Amino acid sequence: MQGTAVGRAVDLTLLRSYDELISELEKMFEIEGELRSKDKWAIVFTDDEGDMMLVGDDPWDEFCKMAKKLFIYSSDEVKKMSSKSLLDDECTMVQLEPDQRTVKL
Amino acid sequence: MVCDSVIDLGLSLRTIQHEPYHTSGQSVGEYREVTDELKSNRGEFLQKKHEARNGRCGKECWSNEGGRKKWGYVKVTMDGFVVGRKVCVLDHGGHSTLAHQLEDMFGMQSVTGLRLFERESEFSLVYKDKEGTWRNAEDVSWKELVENVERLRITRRNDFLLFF
Repeated sequence: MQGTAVGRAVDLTLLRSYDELISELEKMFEIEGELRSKDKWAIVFTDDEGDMMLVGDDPWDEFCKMAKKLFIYSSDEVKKMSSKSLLDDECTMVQLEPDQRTVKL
Repeated sequence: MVCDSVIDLGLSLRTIQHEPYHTSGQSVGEYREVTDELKSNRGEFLQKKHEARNGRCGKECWSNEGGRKKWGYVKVTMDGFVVGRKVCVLDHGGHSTLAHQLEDMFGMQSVTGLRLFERESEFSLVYKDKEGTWRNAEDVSWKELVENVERLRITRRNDFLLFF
């Protein structure tokens, strides 16, 4: 999955929790159970200040307001990441549409 | 944070640490003071609380000065590691429990762990206050930290001198 760009969309306003978001992503990529385990993949997002944050720490409603893009990295990649190499690394990038708050995978 | 229509859901926040959606891969279990209440989902609790008020109170009820700090959540970054985290300072009663949570979140980034506030530690915890000044979190009281912190940063002890 890492390194692929798939033209899919998920509407965050239709989801009520991180649990539902994870379920949706796992179903979408047919990787049930893999995102929840946290050992294999890390889901991060860029917020409205341009910072890259791990998904899950914020209250869900706040996350929906501030998230701009979602990235799914392998755990190994996250550990190795430095600021410089971040955007160059291949990953699955998720674009959040500001108007619709949708997640484009 | 005052609101007339507060509904007591009977949950104690005495030493609650926000149990986020995910659990850390390497929990420093022996250091964490976990009670049954800590296992409750803070996000869900806060959502229910907000819904109970039907949003009548709006943001003023739970945001601190309407700034970046919503419900006491502040960003934490660690030098050399690009993914930041969020902690809720209101969940903690002092430096030590905050240090434990940060150890949980970032400890695996160092072979020796963070060991924040320990003399031998190679890491320092600094915070950005409301005026934009970076200060050493160890140098101030917990009360002052909570009231003034806008952002936290884990930096190598020697690098902290570069802030001045």
